[in-house]
Amino acid sequence: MANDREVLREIWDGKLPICFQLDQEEIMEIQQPDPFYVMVPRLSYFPLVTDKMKRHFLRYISQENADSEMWLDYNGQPLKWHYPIGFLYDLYCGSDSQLPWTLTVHFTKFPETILLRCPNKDVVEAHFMSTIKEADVLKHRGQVMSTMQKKDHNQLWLGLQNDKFDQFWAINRRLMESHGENEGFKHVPIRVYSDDGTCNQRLVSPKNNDGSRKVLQQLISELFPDKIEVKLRTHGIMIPPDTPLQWLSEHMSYPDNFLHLCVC
Amino acid sequence: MEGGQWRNSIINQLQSRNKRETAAFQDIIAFQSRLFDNVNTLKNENLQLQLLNERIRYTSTESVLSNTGGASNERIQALEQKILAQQEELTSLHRRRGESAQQIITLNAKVHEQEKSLQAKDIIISENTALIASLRAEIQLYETNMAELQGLNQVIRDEYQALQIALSSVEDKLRKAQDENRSLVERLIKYKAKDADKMNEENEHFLKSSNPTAFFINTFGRVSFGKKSDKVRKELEDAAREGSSRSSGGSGGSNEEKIMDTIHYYTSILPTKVSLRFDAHDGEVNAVKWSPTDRILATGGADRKVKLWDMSKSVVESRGALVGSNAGVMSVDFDSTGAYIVGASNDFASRVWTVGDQRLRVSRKYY
Repeated sequence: MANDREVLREIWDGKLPICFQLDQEEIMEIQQPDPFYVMVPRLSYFPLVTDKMKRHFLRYISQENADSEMWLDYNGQPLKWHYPIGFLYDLYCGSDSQLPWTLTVHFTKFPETILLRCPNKDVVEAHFMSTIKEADVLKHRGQVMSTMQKKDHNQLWLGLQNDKFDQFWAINRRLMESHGENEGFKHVPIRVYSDDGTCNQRLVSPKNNDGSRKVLQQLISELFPDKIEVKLRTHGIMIPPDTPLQWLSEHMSYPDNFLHLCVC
Repeated sequence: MEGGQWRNSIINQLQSRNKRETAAFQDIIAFQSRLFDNVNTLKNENLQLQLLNERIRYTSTESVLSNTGGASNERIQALEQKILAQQEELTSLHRRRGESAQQIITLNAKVHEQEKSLQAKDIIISENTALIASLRAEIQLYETNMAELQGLNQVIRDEYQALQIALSSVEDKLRKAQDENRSLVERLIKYKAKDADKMNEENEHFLKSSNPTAFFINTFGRVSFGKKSDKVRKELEDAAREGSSRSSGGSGGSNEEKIMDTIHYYTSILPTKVSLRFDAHDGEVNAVKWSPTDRILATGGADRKVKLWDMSKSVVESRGALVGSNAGVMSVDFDSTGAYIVGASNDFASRVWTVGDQRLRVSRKYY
């Protein structure tokens, strides 16, 4: 039951200052372009917030590259647009945070082997909805999403896109409710990422075999039996090991209903 | 509401995170973005103003040039321009003069050529007039010729008409002569008929008074058969039975007369001379019969035909073959008028033909 509004609100309000800089090789003007500073919500996706930045930099690149797709990198590491921005920040510079986050903008040499193409925002929406559905299958065997109407799906997406907390949670709370006779989800949608970006997704039940609540420490010992000291980070904070998984999933999931945890 | 250490820790961490990441930069970034926008708008404005300024300066320099530039300077410029224009005109005129001179030369050459052609044409004209004169003289000649010929033609036509008239009169004469001739012929025929009657009378007379036992056959092939002669024959036969021995005067040849005169018994004379000989049929000739009226001979042969022969002239002419028999014809006979002919053949049938159109009329079989 996601009823701890304070936590939800704090998470929703999290924003990151980002400094975009155009790649030096692609500048075609004598004048150096100014870096572009912007505050972006941690829960959003890059294609939703970069329109203005893109317009700004288009003036400084050669005309033949104006139609090609834009992509971003941090310290030579291409950023995947289909992960939330806050998660990307936690993944690549969680340990030594240096704000504002400086990213390089590219218009040429699209790294086809690393990034997916993102021609428009419909692709982002499709990816977002499919991730929610996947999470719902894990939690309620897909029953909640399939009973929702098309306009509910739209409301979820628009709430995220326009940064409207109430609009989004009016629908999302139904996804966070537990169903059936037993309390809690069937499984917890959770993805654990290593430093090098490899993803680890397993079927994780929110309860132990004896029916008691499973806490994070137990999950860590299941996932990393050979390591003793493992800490997990999400939303820019370290999660206390005694946090119950059910509560964690209900309150600290990203809008796509997944827990994205980084090992540190 | 679930509580505990972990929740407090999370809340605290989140709050500090937001303070560190968001609150610290919120204002600065917002200010920066505002400044950014301002700078952009100012840049655009500046650009527009520069453009405007440039335009104004351009127009002003133009107006300055047009207004205040030294009048004399201007005049000199205008004059220079005029001079330039004049010079250009001059050069163009020179060029034109050269062109016209060239044209004159070419035109002169053309005139020469035209004169030459004119002379040639004059010569041709004179030749042609001579030709015309000679042709006129010829025409005169031909006209006179024609007049003469017309005169001649007239004369000939007159002659022709005269001859035509003569011809028609001669034709009239001819027609008259023919009419006369026809009437004469008719008359002659009449006389001939009278002669024949007379002859017949004489013959009758003679036969009545002649020796009934005599059997006359004219060697010329003429045998007079007829109803009268049949009667005469019967009478003669009757008389012969009576046994009168006297005979008076033969109508045949003088030889027979002598024999008749000297021998007082019945005499039979065999034909001694063949008058005519012809091949009538392909095969045997089975029957021969004279027509009772005309001088026509009918023969029946083994080639299944009955043939008619005209004996009126010195030669034999075929009058036709009557066909229809399926076997050889064994006997033929005429009826008394000579119009029909009957033939009996070996196919057990008798057939009757008409002599005139030579067609089969009756065919009967008797078994």
